[in-house]
Amino acid sequence: MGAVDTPEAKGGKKKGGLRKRAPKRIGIKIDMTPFVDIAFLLLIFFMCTTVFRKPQALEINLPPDPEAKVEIAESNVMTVRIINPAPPGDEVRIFWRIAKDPFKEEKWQDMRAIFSERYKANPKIVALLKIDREAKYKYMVDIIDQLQFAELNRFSLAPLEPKEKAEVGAL
Amino acid sequence: MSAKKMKRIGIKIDMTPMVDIGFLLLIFFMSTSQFDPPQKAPITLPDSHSNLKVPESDVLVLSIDKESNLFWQLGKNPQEETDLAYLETLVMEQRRRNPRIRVAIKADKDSDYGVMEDIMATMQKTNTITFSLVTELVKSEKSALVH
Repeated sequence: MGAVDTPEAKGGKKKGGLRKRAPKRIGIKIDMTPFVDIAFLLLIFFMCTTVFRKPQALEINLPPDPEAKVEIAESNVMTVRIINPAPPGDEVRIFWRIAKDPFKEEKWQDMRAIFSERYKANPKIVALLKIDREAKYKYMVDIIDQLQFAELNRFSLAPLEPKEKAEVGAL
Repeated sequence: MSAKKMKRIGIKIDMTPMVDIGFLLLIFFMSTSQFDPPQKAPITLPDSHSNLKVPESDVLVLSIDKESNLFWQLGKNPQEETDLAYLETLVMEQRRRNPRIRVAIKADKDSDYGVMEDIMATMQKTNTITFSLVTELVKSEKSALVH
C-alpha cells in the first residue's frame, strides 16, 4: 500500500551509515488490479445489455377467405399496376387509376405524394396492387412501404393478369 | 535533482490480473454466445421504413434466395430446402404442432415477385393470414429504391 517513509531520527551512531538512501529507491507500485476489475466489469455489463439491431418487418394481412368478396365502391378503389418492361433490366413501369379512369404512368419516386394526396382527398380509399410476377420482390416491399408512409393502410394484393399487363404495357 | 530521481523509479504494472480477467471474459463469451445456424444461401433483405420487430419466438422463417429457391427454418434448427408444392403441407404441419407459430418471410430483394405471390396464395390456403416480411430498416425519408 502507500509507502510512508518515516525517517528515523539520525541519532544513531552506526545506523545512519548503514542505511541505504531509502527515499530515492522507493518504487511506486500502483496496484492496477481493482482498476482493471472495474473496467472489465463495466465491459461485461455493457456487452450483456447491448441489444443488436434486429431486422425489421412489414406486416401483411391477407383476407381470410380467397372467395370472400368485400364490396367497395368503385370510386374508392385505386388500382396500381406495376409491370416489368419488355427488355428485362429496365426500370419497372408503374400505372395507377381511380375507379375506371384511364391509367396514368408515374415515376416511382412520385408515388408516395400521389398516395398521400389521394388519401387526403378520400380517406376511404383502398389501394389494389397488381404486381407483375416477373418484377422484383423489392418493388412490392417498396410500394407497401410507400403506402404506409402515406398512411394508406388499406391495400390488397391481386395477381396481375396477362391481359391487364398488356393493357398498360401498350400505353 | 528531483527529475533525476523520478527517472529511476521503475513502474511495473502487473498484467496478470488483467490477463486473467481477459481470459475469463473470453471463455464467458465463447461459451454463452449462440451462433445463428448457417444460412444455405445469402439473402440481401429489401429496405423499408417499417419499425415493427420480427417476433423472437415461435417463428417459422421462410427464406427465398435470388434464384427463388425456398428454405424453411424453425427457431435455431438448421435451414432446410423445400419447394412450393410442399410448402402447404409444411405450414399446416408446423401450425398443427404449434398453433402460436408465426411466419416470417425473408426474401432476397432481387427475387421474383411471382414466388411471393405463390407463397401468399399458399398462406391464404393454410389460413395463415398474418405474416411478416423481414426487411432492413432504412433511416432516410426517401424511398429505399434508387432508380
